[in-house]
Formats: sequence, C-alpha cells, structure tokens
Amino acid sequence: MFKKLDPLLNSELRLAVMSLLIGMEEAEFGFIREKTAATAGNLSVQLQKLKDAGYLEIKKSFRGKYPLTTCKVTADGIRAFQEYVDAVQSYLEISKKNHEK
Amino acid sequence: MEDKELSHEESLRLIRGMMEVARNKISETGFHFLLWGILVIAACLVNYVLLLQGLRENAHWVWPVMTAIGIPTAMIYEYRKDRRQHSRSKFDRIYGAVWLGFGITLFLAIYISVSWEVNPIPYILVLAALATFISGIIYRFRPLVLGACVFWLAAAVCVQLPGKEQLLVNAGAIALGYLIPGLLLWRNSKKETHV
Repeated sequence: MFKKLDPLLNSELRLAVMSLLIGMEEAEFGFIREKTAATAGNLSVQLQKLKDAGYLEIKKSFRGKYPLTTCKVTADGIRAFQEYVDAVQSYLEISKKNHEK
Repeated sequence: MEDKELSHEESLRLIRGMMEVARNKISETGFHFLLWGILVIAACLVNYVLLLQGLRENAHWVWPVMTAIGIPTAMIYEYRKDRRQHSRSKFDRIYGAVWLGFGITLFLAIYISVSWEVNPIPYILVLAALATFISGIIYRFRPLVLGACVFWLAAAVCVQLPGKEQLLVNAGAIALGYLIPGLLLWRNSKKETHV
C-alpha cells in the first residue's frame, strides 16, 4: 500500500526549499533564492505556504536599514519531510521489485 | 525552479541535490587559521630569539601580547562576518562549538602547565590537532586533516627536544598545519564570492 505523498512537499520549489533548509540552522531569503534560482515573488508565495502549514518559521528583522527575512525548519517540518522521503523511497522500492518480477 | 509537481525519481534527485548544496557549504574563510598562524609563528620566533639572547625573564611576554592582538581581531572579524552572512549550516554551529571548546581547554591547559612548570607546547599541539582534525572532517577538507597529522607528529617530536627548540618545531608545524589550509580556504572563499 502506497503512502499518500504530502501535496505541499510534492512541488519542485517547496521541496527544494525544505531539502536545503533541513541541513541548515537557518538561511536568509537571498541565499535560498540564489540556490533555488527562483523568482523573489514565487519564492515568497511558496515560503508563506510552508509557513502556514507550520513547516517553516519565518523571522523578519532588519540589518541596518534593510529588511531581512530568515527561514528555519520547524519540528513539524522535519517530521513531514522525513515522512515524505520515506514515502518516496518505499514507492521506488516497490516499483523496483515489481519491475524485477 | 517552479511550482510544478514531481515524479518520485525527480523528488529524490532534487532532495539529494539540495542537501548536497547545504552540506558542501563552507562558511570558514580561513581567516582565523591565517590570523592565529601568523601570530603564533611570530610569537615562537620572537620568543626563540629572546631566549638566544639570554633574555629569559622577558621572553614569555610575547604570548600575552600575541593573545591581546589576536582575540580582539578575531572578535571584530566574527562580528562583521555575522552581519553579512546569508546562512548558517548545522556544521557551522558544531564547528563554532569545537573551536570555542578548544579555546577554553587551551587556556586551562596553558594555565595548568605554567602552574606545574611544564612546557605547554606539546599539549597545545595535541589540542590544536584535535580541533583541526574535527574541522577537517566536518567540512570534508583534507588539508586540515593533514594539518592535524602534522600537529600530532610535531607534539611527539617536541617531547624529545629541549624547550627552546620546541618553539621552532611549533612554528614549523603551525606554518604547515594552519597557514597552508588557511590560505587554501581563503582562496576558495574568494572564488565563491565572485561566482
């Protein structure tokens, strides 16, 4: 029986953001944008969706005169990411076994 | 990158790729290796020359002077780096903790050695070797691992030598174990900045 994939994570940009942040303490908006090569507008929308789901914590502050957005994965985000990876792996293992038969 | 749905294979490929980006991020610029490398080498050589000239009483003052130059410089650099840093990986946090632990242990090791009137150089070298080795493993940067091996070897050699000559071995070990990896890290960080 396949586990249903989390639709929130099964999107290229949101999954890229979560995969990037999972190995980090925190990262700034500019860094995430550079590494994902996303547009600022699209990235803002996707980060907000992840925040609304409780997967990300977004902190807004200032560095000097300029606004600064910092993102961090929450415990719920780590759990959801782990479940997503497990589901993808189990799907690939089952399809590999079916292919070998 | 867009907001499109992914196949299972694409998902796994993307996860691996992005995690690799985070893992390979080295925020160490080599500055501290260069700073402390130059200061320690200079202090060793000045101390050696003072001992050669028979100024034994004044020779040990080079070490507090070196520390008084090094600590504020390192702190100012870290403060300024923190203000312009775009991200911090989990490795960076562990790396920082390793060197903070090293600093505290080093201070105590020197205090204990001086109190017991024992030469601290072999202890300093083994401590530096441990912190440098862990740093090399965390960032998967082989020159630091090799630098740690140089420190371990130098510590073993120092035990067989009189105090004055240990200063020269220490200076040589620091040149190989700190300055070379420091220069390579510095060069890499400059390259990264210009991408």
